[in-house]
Amino acid sequence: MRHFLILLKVRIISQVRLNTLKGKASIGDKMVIIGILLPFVIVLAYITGLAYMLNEYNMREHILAYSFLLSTVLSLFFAFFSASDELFGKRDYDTLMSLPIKTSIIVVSRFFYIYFLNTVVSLIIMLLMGAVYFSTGTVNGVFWIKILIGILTVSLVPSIVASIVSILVLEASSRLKYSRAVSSISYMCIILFLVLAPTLSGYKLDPSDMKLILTNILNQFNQVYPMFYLYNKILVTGTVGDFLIYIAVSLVLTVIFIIGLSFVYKRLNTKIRSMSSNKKYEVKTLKRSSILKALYIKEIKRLFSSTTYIMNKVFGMIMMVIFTISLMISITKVMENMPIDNINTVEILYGVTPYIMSLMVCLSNTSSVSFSLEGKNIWIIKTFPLSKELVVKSKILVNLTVTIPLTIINGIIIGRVFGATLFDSIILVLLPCAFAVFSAIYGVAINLRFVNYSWQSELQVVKQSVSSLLGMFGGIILVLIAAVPKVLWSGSIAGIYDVVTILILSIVTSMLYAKTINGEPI
Amino acid sequence: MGILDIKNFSKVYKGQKKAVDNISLSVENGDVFGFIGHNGAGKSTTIKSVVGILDFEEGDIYIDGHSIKKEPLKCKSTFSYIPDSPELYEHLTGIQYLNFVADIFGVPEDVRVKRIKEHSGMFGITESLGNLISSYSHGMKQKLAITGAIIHEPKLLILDEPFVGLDPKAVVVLKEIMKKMTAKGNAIFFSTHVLDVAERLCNKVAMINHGKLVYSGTMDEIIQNQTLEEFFMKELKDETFSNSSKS
Repeated sequence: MRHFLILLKVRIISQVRLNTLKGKASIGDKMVIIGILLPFVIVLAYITGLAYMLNEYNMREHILAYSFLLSTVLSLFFAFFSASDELFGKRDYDTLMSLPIKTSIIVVSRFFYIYFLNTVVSLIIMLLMGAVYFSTGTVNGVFWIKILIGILTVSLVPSIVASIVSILVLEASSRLKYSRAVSSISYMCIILFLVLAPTLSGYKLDPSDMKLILTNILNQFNQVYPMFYLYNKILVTGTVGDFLIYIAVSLVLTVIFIIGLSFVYKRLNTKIRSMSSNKKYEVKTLKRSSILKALYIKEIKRLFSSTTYIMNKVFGMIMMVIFTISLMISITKVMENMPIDNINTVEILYGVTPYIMSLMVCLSNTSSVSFSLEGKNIWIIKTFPLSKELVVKSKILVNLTVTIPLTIINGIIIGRVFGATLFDSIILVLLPCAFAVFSAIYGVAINLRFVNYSWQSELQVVKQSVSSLLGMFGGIILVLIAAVPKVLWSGSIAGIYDVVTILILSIVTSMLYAKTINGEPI
Repeated sequence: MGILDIKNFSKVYKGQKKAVDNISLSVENGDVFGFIGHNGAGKSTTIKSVVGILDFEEGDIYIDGHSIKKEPLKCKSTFSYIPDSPELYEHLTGIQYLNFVADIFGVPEDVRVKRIKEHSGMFGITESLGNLISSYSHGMKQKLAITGAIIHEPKLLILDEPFVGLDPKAVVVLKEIMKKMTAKGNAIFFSTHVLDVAERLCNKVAMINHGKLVYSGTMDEIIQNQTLEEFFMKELKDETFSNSSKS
């Protein structure tokens, strides 16, 4: 227990950077707080809205079930993106394994951190929705026990599931030379499958009956996720036996996972850290490239070498593919079922689709962490005869490689799905591309302003850094600002508005690029 | 003017006293220049400022006549730098890294192949060049960094503690490479703790203590009737005495 607490303390100190925090918050610290709070407020508003909507549809008794469901999904989502790095990506592995600490304690400390972060998220969701439940009717004393147990246990199983998936992917890909690239692609395929499975399975929802949709979601979840079934039993009947079964299953699964992982932890780490090697290399011909191409190749290999990097920063484009496929499957059905007076809804969707695509493009901002990820390698960029412009260009080009081709393909497909005019089809491609260029350049500018080369794990840079948050949300806020007039004005002026948006964005992007490359040296 | 001229250079870290205080020295073509001093004396700070990693306010540093502050790219095309702990791109293979360096310095294809074969062969790492750098040991990374650093035959090779972590054979190879380079008129500037290596290898030496240059001159002047180690200890002692008498 003592060792566990020590490890946890060290983990929190390095994560929160306690030793480097000054008395007064720096601009960077303030930005991190704003960057975290902003999406947080949006999510809180959404959760509260959902709870009130359930109450409106006379489904108040399901509010807690939904809070459990949302917490489960979000825990699974967050754990999926952080488990591999948290369990196997820490630089202190060698040090810890050489100390007289039990492997199981190391595993518990690693897993506890994933659980802890997810529990914080669950706490907010369940308390908020619980507050709506509390304020909209009468509650008994058991209500608080139900909430407390839910908060403390909901993220355990999703964290275990995400960890097991991460372990399987890493274990399978570790046999290959480019294991990181293979595991990154595997993760993307798993996400695509999980998100698209309900759509592709032919399960259809009638958007005109929201109550039915909400009930169906609960029923589906009840069937596929046993922990939800058990928790739901607590909510419905609330017998002592139900409580005990639910708690026992959660704890037993956690203990089995910890013990199992402790047994194989060292072997897995050795395997993941051992590289495939070929002892027969012979120097033959080497192809010469331009400096920009050499930097670009190095940069694109960096992207594919890190599962954390690619998974978090290419996620927006995965969402775009999911969005396109969902539109292809559902738009005809929606249009067929839509009452005549609701045709306007499809028109609005048609009008804002370039902006929805732009949002997803801005989520895929690789450049906002590209300089920070140089880490201890930065001496190479600093001591080689490289102009700042070339280095910046290489990082922008990698970002555009991720966003532009998929944006063009998706834009063309969506244009065909909507039966768009030539002009609208061009806008569907050009507007998100303009935002892609802006986002890439803005990401570099932000990263150079808030660069951090001394990180302990890539996750720290990719998910929790100032530049990552600002790089993503800066672009998203700009898209939202640009989209508001489009939602308000439909009709003939809408096309001109899009053209004006592209022009203004291009001018801003050019100015930002000039300012970035002429700024302080790297 | 030498290939490297450090003029009245001082470096102050934010909120601290001077890490390096007004040092001046000159490295000529053909020199093997040793930069010696105890831990924390200011060697790495000086070297990092010379190669453009650290910014500085006082004095200037010239490489082949160009100021590192005003013409950094011209300076950086002239030298190669190898840090004490070479952190290389672990996601690249050894050969991809060497090809990357050759691309940055514009080394022709046939020349890069010839030089890689020669130097990687000398260090015995050729067969591992197809592997990811993340699989390399510390020593192998250092050998790869050296192979990369000399791929464009720099006029000036700057090394920070180059002999730490190298196996005995690699030390011999590195010394051989240094001798070959200086025979062609190129220069070497390196920091070291290993005084007997410096004594045997360097024709010039500078000694830094608590950020101040306490000696700069030729090796012959030093070792007329003492070893470099004896001279080093004597200088440190004198410096300590003068500091304590001041306080």
